[in-house]
Amino acid sequence: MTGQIILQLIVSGLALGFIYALVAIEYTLIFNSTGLLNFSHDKFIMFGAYIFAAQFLLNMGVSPAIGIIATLATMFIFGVLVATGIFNPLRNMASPLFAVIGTVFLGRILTEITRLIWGATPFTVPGFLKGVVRIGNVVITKANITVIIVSAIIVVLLQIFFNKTKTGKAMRCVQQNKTAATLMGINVAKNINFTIALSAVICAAIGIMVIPLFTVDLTIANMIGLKGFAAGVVGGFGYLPGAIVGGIAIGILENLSTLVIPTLYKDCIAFVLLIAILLIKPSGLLGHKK
Amino acid sequence: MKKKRIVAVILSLTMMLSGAMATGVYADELDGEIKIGLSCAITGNFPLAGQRTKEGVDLALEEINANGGVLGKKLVYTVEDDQNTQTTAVNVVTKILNEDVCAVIGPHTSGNAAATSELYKNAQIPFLTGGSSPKLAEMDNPYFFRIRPSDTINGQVAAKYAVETLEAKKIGISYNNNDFGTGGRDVVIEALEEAGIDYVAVGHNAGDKDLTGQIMQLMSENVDCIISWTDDAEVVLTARQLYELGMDVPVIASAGIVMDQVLNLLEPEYVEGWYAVTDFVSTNDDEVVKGFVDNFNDKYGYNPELYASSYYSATYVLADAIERAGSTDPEAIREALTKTSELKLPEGLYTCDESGDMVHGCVVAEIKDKVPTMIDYVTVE
Repeated sequence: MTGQIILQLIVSGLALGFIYALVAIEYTLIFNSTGLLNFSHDKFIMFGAYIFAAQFLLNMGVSPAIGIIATLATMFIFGVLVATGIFNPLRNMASPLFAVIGTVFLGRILTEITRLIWGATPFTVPGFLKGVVRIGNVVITKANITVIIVSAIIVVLLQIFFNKTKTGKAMRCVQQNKTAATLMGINVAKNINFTIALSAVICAAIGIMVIPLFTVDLTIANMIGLKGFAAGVVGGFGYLPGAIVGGIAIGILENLSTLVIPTLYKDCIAFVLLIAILLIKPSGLLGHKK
Repeated sequence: MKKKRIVAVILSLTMMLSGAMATGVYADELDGEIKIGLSCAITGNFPLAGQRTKEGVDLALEEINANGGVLGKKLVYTVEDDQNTQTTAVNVVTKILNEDVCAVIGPHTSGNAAATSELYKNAQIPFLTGGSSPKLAEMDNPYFFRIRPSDTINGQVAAKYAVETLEAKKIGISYNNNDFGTGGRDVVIEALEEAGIDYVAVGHNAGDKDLTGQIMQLMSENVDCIISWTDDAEVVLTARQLYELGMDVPVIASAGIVMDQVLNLLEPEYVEGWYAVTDFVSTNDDEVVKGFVDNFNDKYGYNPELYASSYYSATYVLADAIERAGSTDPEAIREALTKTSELKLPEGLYTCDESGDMVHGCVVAEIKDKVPTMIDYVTVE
């Protein structure tokens, strides 16, 4: 019985861990390309979930497959708009604080816009990614399996993109030195537009995948937003493989913690781990240095 | 543009005139008005509750005034939007109290009721609220009246039902770590200890998104019944994960689960066979409830839920008290409210006790294919 419980906790933790990892990746991208933090990233996830579920599926009645493509496309355009409106104009101001505060307010605006358009009542998409798979005594939901597979695909695609394509290499140049990148003929502003759009697309993917796990409401991504941030720091800030290790570590550890500490304090694990890593090994678990 | 404005003026004049004429008709039949206050959340984070509250009160007033009013006068209200926040509730109650009202209905929720309690006490005007926290009764405010069962009652009924009817030997309590959840947990634990039944309490926080740890703990403790005391979002999560992890034991849930806005978030199999301890279900066969549900449905086109039923009943409780007081003096109305006895309304049987609690029983409902059906009405002494 105990063995089964531990196994179940690890499996559920793994699935949540991949969500944290994706969140960490999504804002790491923006941090790497602009040196700024997108404090509205959890609202991007929420917005993506609403566009998919409320707009495309429930209001317009399109099939999930078309809905997913349309949502990702919409969020790509949305990302470009945010980059043009906030990140590019504000990133060169006297302090990075301007852009950061800009994103905080963008988050508020997004929440209120969503409430005005689609209403404040929580809802769900009946039947979407519903069901469980049983392997022996261990249960895993289809939604969780989807999360794990999609996350793995996204990570692999990103690695290929950054190492093999011209745009990806250009993005890494911008990350290392913006002035030098400009001198090499890279259009930094355009590059940042693309990065933020990419990040918004990943946010939308997260938003869509968590719909069957969390009810769609205005606070759908608050918790995963915070823990995803912790995951990035724990794994090694600004380093993609680190984000995955950090996310999985937090997901599994916080679930296993319920065996020894009261369940109420489960959420503390991520943040205790965050502080411990900052004190002991600030470069993160994977110890990546730029 | 100009044309539109003229049309608008004409339309609004027509509305004012017809309104005046309507009052005129009433004035012929009923001599004068009695004004009460209503504070509810029309906007904010809980607008559905305010809308249903107002609909319940509107229906009750319509019926009361059609049947000769109160003391031969027309019962009317002045309504303010408290946005379900404590600061706004304090502001709007202050405003209502300055409007020459003889009693007030609302605000809803325990936090808002506690915040405005002193205002009512100082103004010496009675108020009727649906806040269900056991702590409200301890405020020692003679002007406080509760028109819904308090959680003390729901919690005891849940424990009693688990032990006596479901014959549970070891009970798992899954609670939300907020005022509502811990209040319910304490009542359930007290009742279980009294009955000498083994239990294990496992908590979660508001906003939690994964309860695997909590459910595995309940599973490893081999509980044979679960009492779940939590809010809407978390009860949805509890139901889904209990089902997915294959934990097949009877569950008794706190009041919110029977509302459509919660059931709509669930697949039918998640809550099949669940029990709920709640104020009101619209499928009740009782004649008073049936009449209310039919009238409500005729007027609005959908079934009432617990807010509509609570505040519909509250309006009748107040009308009854004013009638018995024989005057609109707030003190006399308070006196009459304390003597409310055996008044049968959709929300239950109203009898006032010394702490201002008026409903002393609650409904046990069973959910079948997402429809909650009443199986018992349990009264607690």
